[in-house]
Amino acid sequence: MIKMLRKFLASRHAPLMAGSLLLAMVPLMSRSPYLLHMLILFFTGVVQGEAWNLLGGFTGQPSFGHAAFYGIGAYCGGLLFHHFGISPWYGVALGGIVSALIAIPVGWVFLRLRGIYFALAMLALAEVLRLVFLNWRSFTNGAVGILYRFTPKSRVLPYYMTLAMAMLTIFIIDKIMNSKLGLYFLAIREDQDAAESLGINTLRYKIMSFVISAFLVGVVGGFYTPYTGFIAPDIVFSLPGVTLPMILMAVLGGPGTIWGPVIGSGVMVAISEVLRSYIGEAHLLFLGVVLIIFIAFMPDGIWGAVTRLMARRKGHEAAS
Amino acid sequence: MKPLLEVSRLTKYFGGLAAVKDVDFDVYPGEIFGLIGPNGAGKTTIFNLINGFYRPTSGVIKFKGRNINGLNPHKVCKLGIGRTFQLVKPLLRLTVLQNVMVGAFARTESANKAREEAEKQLEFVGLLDKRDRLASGLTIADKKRLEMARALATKPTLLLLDEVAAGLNPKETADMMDLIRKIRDDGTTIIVVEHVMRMVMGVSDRIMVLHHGEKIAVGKPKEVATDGRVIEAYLGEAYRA
Repeated sequence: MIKMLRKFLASRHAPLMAGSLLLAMVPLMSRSPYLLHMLILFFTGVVQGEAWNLLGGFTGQPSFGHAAFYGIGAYCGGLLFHHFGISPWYGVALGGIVSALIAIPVGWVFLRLRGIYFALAMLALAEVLRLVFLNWRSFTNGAVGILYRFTPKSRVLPYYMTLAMAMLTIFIIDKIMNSKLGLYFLAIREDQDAAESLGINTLRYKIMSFVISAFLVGVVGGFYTPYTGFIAPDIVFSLPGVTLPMILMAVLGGPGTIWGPVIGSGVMVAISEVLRSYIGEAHLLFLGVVLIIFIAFMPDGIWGAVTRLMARRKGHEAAS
Repeated sequence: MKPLLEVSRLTKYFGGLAAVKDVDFDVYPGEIFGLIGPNGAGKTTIFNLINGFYRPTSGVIKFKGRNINGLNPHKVCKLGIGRTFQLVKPLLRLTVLQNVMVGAFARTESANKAREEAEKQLEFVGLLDKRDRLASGLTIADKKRLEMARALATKPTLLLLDEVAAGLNPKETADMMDLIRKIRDDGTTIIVVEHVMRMVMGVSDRIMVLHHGEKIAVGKPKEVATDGRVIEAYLGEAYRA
């Protein structure tokens, strides 16, 4: 028994399992809707941050338009309900699948672009989708948006749902990054020409990273619709409202690390909540400034800085 | 013996400028084939044409009898052509071992097999003790060895080495020559692009000289070194002796 426990504590998955276990007990102790809502935002943030990070941090293809997949995910459930009266909860799975399917041809074209050109193409895609969904009123209900009045009364179920999503995401991305696929992603990030010359079909592997990333973001978008009960193009395809926080979660926490987006999501939810009550919409300006500061002075994010400090201390101990 | 690589009438234009013009050569299995010429003669361009980074304007490149014109670099790698870069391209934020594992994964899906193969190649080039360091922390000489190990891990039948001796001191150059001979003795055919004459003359079985994108001579190192046109274009008077 003790042996098993010790083995578990030493394993790579121990922090994830222990953290999830603790978080799973929260609703047993408090049903405060506010607390649960904050944690739900944290979990969905983890999924989005990890998704953006897989493509932008690990594979080296930063996107300025991931709201495209969030919006597509959100509208899957929204349109199901709007046209057929089907529960938008189906949109959670459907949103992920549709986003992933759309990501294949988009990636096939856009991922031939390198660096900033890919990021800008994605920015344009999200913006074009926003405009299409605004103006195609017969299909999307335009700027009026789609209202779903049967949002869950208790937040406990959404809580466990998003906790599971976040756990699974971390687990899967950790698995990927410890496999051939993950090493190929890193190789592409470091040098695409070298990667090609070593037998890596860089376009194909970039598309894979893109599709997984789009799937995860689509799932969170799909969750947004039935959870909040209202979507509109300006909300779900928003650059400052959706894409920017996603980038921040990865970059603040530590791009190209597994735990970075988890920290980033926690910090983001906290900062946004505090700031929103004091300065309202201006908090986006503040976040923009934070992003610039981090990119300039702490490019490896909070997690990167912490691991660096820990390594240095270890070095000191070893020396003394 | 059938040539491993057959290049005929290879031409590459960049705009109106011919970087490579009507170049023919064959490389035979087990050979070390040297490629020399002044800066801008088209040596690296030829590597980029063989390896698939560029498409030829005209001409044919055949590898193992198969036309490989216009294939993507990753396909060329899978067919068995590995290369290093003149300006080294190590995967900087990965460890030395990871760098070589990337190459090894071209031939296996198993992480264990890739690790074994990578360790074997690191031992071969003498970098095994630095396996857990980040590639960014290596010296230039070690980065070049790393690129060789990485390319060898893809199990090439033909290896293209682009200026692996540039910037090395005499001792390192001698070690590099030994290494190149060892790779050949293990059954890999090699083309070397090189400016360091001591190295290319010492290690090559045959040498081709390029000037302004055209072939001006090909033959044994001694023959090439005494060729009047080669001396005029590239080597200079010192080599006439």
